[in-house]
Amino acid sequence: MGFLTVLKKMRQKEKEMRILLLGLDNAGKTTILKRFNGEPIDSISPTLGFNIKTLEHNGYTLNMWDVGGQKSLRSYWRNYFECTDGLVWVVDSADRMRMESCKEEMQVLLQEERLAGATLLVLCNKQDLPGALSSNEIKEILCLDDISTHHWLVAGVSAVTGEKLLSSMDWLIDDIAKRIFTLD
Amino acid sequence: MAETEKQLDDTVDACPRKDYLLERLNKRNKDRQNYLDIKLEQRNKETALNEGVDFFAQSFGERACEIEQRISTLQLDSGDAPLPDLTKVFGDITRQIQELQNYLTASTMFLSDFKIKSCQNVLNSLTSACDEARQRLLPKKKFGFSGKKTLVKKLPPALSKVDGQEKTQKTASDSAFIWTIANRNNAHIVLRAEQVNGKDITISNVHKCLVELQGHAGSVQISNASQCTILCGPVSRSFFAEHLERCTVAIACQQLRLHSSQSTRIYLHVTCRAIIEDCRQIEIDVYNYDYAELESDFEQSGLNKSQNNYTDIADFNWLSPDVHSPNWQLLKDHAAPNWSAVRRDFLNRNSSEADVKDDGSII
Repeated sequence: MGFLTVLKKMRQKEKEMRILLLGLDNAGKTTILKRFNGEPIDSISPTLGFNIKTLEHNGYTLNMWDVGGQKSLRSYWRNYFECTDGLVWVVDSADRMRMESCKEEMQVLLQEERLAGATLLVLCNKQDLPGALSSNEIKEILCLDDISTHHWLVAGVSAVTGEKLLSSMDWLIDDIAKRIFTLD
Repeated sequence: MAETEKQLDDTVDACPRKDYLLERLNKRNKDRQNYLDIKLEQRNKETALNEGVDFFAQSFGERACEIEQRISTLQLDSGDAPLPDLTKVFGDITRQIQELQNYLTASTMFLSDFKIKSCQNVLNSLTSACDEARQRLLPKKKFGFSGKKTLVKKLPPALSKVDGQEKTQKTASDSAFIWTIANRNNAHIVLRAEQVNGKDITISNVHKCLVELQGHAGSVQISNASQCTILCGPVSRSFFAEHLERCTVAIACQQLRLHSSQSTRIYLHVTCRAIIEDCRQIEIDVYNYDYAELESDFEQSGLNKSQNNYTDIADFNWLSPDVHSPNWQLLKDHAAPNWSAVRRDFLNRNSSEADVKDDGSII
């Protein structure tokens, strides 16, 4: 390890990532963000607007943007696309009624040019509920296997119990780090 | 004489001892040097294998070459290759490219900037060649239609697929989506505890019905209801409704979301917050539904009975904090309805259909 290598490693450590949390309303975006940040999650209201959290994780600075998912807010999603390194698409696994519209909204996002470079993490939230679809079923419904434009991973998580949340976020951060810190 | 002999003996003895010592020292020195040499060699080998610039260039080139060949052979025998194989092959190639990308990324530590850039260029051209071949050979999977067209094209088969699943898996599996209550007119539908408790209740396309959920559901979703009265016990999580028209709803829940509805009256207990969106003429009053097990259902649902935020509704179409939203209002000077009387009136009106209860709720 030469001096340059040490320098490079230090620079890597200072790096920031911008992560966008999107999904239909009531998917649990704010709950995931708060759980990840170690805040209480028992009094969360529907998000009117957006939340931003900056947090340190594994030596990276993560700028997490959580934008409300109500229909009238979805048209504003695109204001947050610029410079996004990672896209977290949150799905309410128990909401069978709106799986189709969930799929449509996600496919619109994937065609967005400004998100072309972003890594996609699909979180099938609410796995603790008895009626929840498994991550495999959701993978089929959302046709994730057809995605060739983004690196992606689908994971069944629960923001309430914290199940698998951290490991899937680690994958996202790792994948982004590999990509954006290659060419300094 | 004896003494001199003894002395001689001593010198004779001393010589081999010295030699022996020297020998031992030499041997130890040699061993040490050998050991060092071996170590050095090993280390050289390791760095050469893992981090050597030459080694990287060679293996990167080989792997890139292999991928390129796979893509080009694909293009040659595109005519006779069967389709399902192709998708798999493309998946394989994409994975190989990704692995190569990871290899490059992991090796940036010891590569020069120029080398990194040129390798990245190779990777980029491989990716685009792969995409190009994919688009040519698998036109069906191609992305990039204008949004509306694909949606129109894709929706019908997707729907029919769901229908098919419903038919085959109706009895056993709940992986396909089935409405709890759907397509009913002028019916009095009562679901009791065993059908409701902890479940996700979904209701669709009901007209002039009286629906009662006497139990604690996990969540309730309603889509398309007109001129209905919907009475629900405590719901542990969320109540979601869209396209309600001239309905009356009684609901206790953690979170209420009402979309694209109008002229609807809601008797509400909400512990978190209620929101409305694209709604007009919504009237809100306090929850007053009653049935035998209401108290115990409240307990089991986990809702806080003493916390009711029904006076604070957020309207997503009205973001001004100073002026009250014109889309909803609290009911004032209005007598709370007597649900037993409502039920009686309803049954009298629809006496012919009054027998329709419990059964036939799943359609």
